[in-house]
Amino acid sequence: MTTPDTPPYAPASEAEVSALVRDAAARNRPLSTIGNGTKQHHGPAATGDMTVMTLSRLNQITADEPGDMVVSAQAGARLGDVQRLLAERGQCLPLDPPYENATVGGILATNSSGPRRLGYGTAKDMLLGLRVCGSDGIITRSGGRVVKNVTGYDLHKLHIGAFGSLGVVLEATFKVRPRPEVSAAFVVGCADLAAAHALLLDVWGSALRPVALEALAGGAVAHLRVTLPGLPDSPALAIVGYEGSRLAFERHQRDLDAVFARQQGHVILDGAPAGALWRAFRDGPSRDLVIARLGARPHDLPGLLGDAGAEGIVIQVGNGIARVSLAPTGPSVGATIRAWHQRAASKGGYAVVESAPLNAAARATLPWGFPGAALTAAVKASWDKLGIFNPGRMAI
Amino acid sequence: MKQRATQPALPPPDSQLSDMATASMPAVTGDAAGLLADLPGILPADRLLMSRDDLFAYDCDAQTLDRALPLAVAFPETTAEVSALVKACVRRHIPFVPRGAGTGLSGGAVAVGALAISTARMNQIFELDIPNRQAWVGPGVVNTHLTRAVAKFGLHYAPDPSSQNACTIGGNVAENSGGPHTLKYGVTTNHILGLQAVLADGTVAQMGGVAADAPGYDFTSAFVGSEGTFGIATKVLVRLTPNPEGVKTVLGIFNTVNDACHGVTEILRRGILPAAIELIDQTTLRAVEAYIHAGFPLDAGAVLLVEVDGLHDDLQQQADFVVEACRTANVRDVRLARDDAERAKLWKGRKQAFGALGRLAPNYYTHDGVIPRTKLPEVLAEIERIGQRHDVVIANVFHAGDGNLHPVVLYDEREAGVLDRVRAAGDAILTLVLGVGGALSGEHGIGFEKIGYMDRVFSPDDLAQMRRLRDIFNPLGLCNPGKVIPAPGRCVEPGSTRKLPIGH
Ligand SMILES: Cc1cc2nc3c(=O)[nH]c(=O)nc-3n(C[C@H](O)[C@H](O)[C@H](O)COP(=O)(O)OP(=O)(O)OC[C@H]3O[C@@H](n4cnc5c(N)ncnc54)[C@H](O)[C@@H]3O)c2cc1C
Repeated sequence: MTTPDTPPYAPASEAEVSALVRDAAARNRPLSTIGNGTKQHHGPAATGDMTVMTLSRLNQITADEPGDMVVSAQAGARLGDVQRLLAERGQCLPLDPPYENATVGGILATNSSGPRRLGYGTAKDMLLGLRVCGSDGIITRSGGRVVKNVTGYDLHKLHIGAFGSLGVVLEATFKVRPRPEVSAAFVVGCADLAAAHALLLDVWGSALRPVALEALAGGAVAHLRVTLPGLPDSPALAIVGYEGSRLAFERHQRDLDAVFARQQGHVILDGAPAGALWRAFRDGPSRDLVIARLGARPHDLPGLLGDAGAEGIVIQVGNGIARVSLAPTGPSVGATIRAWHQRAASKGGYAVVESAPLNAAARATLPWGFPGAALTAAVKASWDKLGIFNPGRMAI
Repeated sequence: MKQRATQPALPPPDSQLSDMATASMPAVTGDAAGLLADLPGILPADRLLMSRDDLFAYDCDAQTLDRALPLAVAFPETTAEVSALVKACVRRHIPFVPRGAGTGLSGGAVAVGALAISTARMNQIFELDIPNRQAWVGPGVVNTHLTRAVAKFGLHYAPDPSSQNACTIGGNVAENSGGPHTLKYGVTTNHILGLQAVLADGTVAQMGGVAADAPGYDFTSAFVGSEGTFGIATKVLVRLTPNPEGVKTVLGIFNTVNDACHGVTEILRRGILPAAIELIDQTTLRAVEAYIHAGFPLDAGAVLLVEVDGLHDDLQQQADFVVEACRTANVRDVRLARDDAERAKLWKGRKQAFGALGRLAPNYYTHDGVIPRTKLPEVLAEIERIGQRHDVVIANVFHAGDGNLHPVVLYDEREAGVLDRVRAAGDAILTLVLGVGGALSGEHGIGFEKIGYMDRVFSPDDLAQMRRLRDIFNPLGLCNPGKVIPAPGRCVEPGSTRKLPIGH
C-alpha cells in the first residue's frame, strides 16, 4: 500500500487509515481528521503542527437490506447520498443536520441534528454500531447490525459529539424508518419570539405529535424568507413540523387552526414546499456569525433567554435548545455567553459556543465547553494515549 | 477445545456455577472477615443480612443455572451509604455486586463471595417534573410504580419489560432493558437523560442532566447497558412519554409459525411502525390459556399480537394496514380487540407467558438473540429442527418486530442428561443467530451466562477496547467481577455447568 505523499491525505480504505494513524503515532505527530470539512468552524480549531486526513474517499454505503431497516455507511459518505438510496425504497434516516455535504462521520463527531429531532431523536437514538480506528491503528467494533443489542458495552455512544478525539470513525450502522406518507409544516407569523415560543410550548403539551417545533426571530426568519417568500410577514415565526399519515395530518390542521387564530396569519407547506423549508433549515446556520447554543429544560428556556439582543435566534421548543447568532465583532461575545451560562447553570442548563467564523478574533478564548470530569480525562488518556487525535478540537 | 490460560478460582461452597462463570471469576483475595466486621458500622443491623439462612434468597437471579451465596446483603437508602459500603469493600479488597429486584436473566446479580448491594430501599421518586416530562428517581423504583405515579398526568415510562411489575429502574438501566413497545419507543437508553452513580472507588459521579446536547462525552449512554460493572446508579433522570390518545390491538391467528413470521415482514414493509409486534407460538399459547385464559386460540400455530397507537384519527387505518398485511401472509383469522378489557387480557397473556411456561416444566432456559428481521422465517424453522435434534421442547414468545427472539427451552433438571441437551440446543441456537449476522443478546444481557460466547462475536481487540473502558470506571475490578467481558486469555468452551450441592 502506498500512502499519498501530499497532504491532506485521503485514504481510500480502512487499511490506509490504519497505516496513517500508525505512522502518526510512531512520529508522535497529531492527526486532524475531517470528513468533507463542513464544520471546521464548529468547536475550537485543532491546534499545532499536524497531519490532515480527510475521509471523503471512504464514502461507500456498505450494507443495506431494505427489509431489515438498517443501513451501514462509511464515515465519509454524505448523509444526502445515504438518504437518496433509502428514499428509493421508501425509507429514511430521520436525521436532518445542517450542511448539504455533511458526512456520516462528521455528523456523529459533532452530534449534529436538525429540527425533526423532536420527533425522532438524535444520532444516539439511531446509531446501532461503529467501526473505529484507535490510536494504535487497530480497528475495533462495537454494537452490530440489528436494531436491538446489548452484547458488550456501547462504546460507539462515546464517539458521538467527541469531535474525533477518541478515534477515527470508519463505518456506522443506523436504524432507519419508513418514509412518512405526509411531510408538512405549519408556519405561523407571531408578533415576537416570546409569543412564538409560548405558542409552541402549548402545542408540545397538547395531544398532537409534531416532529418539529421551531421558534425563530431576526436573521433566521429573513433567511427562510429568501427561499420561501410566501411566509407570513411578521417579526417572529412559529413552525410546527408534521410527519405521518394524511388522516392524522388533517387532525393537526383542525386543532392548530384554533391555536393559530390569534396570530398573524399562517401558511401550510405540504410535500415539496415542506422539503424546501427543511432544506432552508439545513443551509441556515451562518458561517459569518458566532452561534451560541443554550440548553435547558424546555419550560425554563424562555426565562433564561431574556432579552437576547441577537442577530437571529432559533429555538427547538420541546428539546430545550436555543441557537443564538451574534456578531463576531462585538467586544463581549464571550462574556455574553458566559453570563448566559451562569444563569442557565443555576437550572441545570448550559450555554456554549457552537460555531464561530474561523477568522474571528479571540476565537480560541470563546467558551466552547467545560473542563470535563475525571472520567473525561481518563477515557481520553486510555483511548488516545499519545493525544494524537484532533488535539484542541474539543473543549475537554 | 480452547485451553484455559489461567487457573480459575475455585468455586466457593454452596455455589453452582457454569464453567464459563467459574472461569471468568477472579479469585476473591480480600479480607472478608474484616468487611463483615465493618458493615454494622455503616448500616444498622436491620439493613444487613449476614446469616447463611437469609443469604439463600439472594443466591441467584431469574436465570437459576448460576448460583452462589453472597458474603452479605446490604440495603442502603442513600447515595452516601452506597459510597460508604463501596469504600469499605475497596479497603478490604472484596468485590461488590449491585442488585435490583433479581429478575435478571443472565446471572448479572449473582454475587460470588461478594457483598450484594441491594437498591430495594432506594425506591423514592425524588422529583416529578411533569411540564418538562422528566423525573429523578431512585434506582430501586419498580418500573410500573413509576408509570403509575405519572399516569394521572397522562404520561408513562416507555420501556416496558414483561417483568415490569417487579424489575427496577436501576436494573433496567444496567441491562438496557427493552419490552414489547420498544419497537416504536426505543429501549431504556433512549429514555435515560442522566444519572448519578457511585463508581467503583466509592466516588460519586454525575452524568448527563436535564438539558439536551450538553457538550462532552456521553457517559450516560456508556453507563446504560454496562450490567452493573461500571458502578452503582443511585439516582436516575428518566424521560416521561405522553400516553397515546388511542390504541388498537390486532390479533392475527396463523396456522404456522412460518406464516406468522411472514406476517411480521409484511407489516414492516407497509411503511407503518406499529408500537409492538409480538409472536406467540402454540406451545406458549396453550400454556398461557391453561394459566390465565387470555382468549388465545389453542389450535393456532402461532399468533401475532400487534398494537398500533397514536391519534384517534388514523388508528383504524393503521389497524387496517396490519390486517391486510396479515392476510397477505396467509392468516387464518385476524381481528381487533373489541375493547380495553379484551386488549388488557391479551397483553396480560403475553406478559405472563414466561410464568405460564414455568408451569409446563419445572425449569426453563431463555435465549435472547436478535436477528435481521428478514431472516425470521428461516431462523424459526431451524430452531424447531434444533429442538427435534436435541430432543428438547422449545417454545417461542418474542419481540418479533425487533427480530428479538426468545426461544425458551423447557426441561426438568431431575432428568438424567437433560442439562447437556439443553446446553447443546442453546449452543446451536446461538450459533444459528450469529451465523445470520445477529446479536447474542437483545435485552437480557451477557452477565455470566453468555460470557463464553463473547469471543465469537468480538475480536480480542474489540474486547480489549471494552475492557479499557471498564477499567476506567472499575479499575480494581471489584465492581461485579467476572461479568460481560471475559478476562483476556480466559476462554472456556461454553456449556458445561459445575453443579455443587446447595446447602450441604
Ligand atoms: C418473567 C420475566 C420477563 C422478563 N421480560 C423482560 C423483557 O421483556 N425485556 C427485558 O429487557 N428484560 C426482561 N426480563 C429480564 C429482567 O427483568 C431485566 O433485565 C430487568 O431490567 C432486571 O431488573 P432487576 O431490577 O431485576 O435487576 P437485577 O436482576 O437485580 O440486576 C440486573 C443487573 O443490573 C445490575 N444492577 C441492578 N441495579 C443496579 C444499579 N442501581 N446500578 C448498577 N447496576 C445495577 C445488577 O448488578 C445486575 O448485573 C424478564 C425477566 C423475567 C424473569
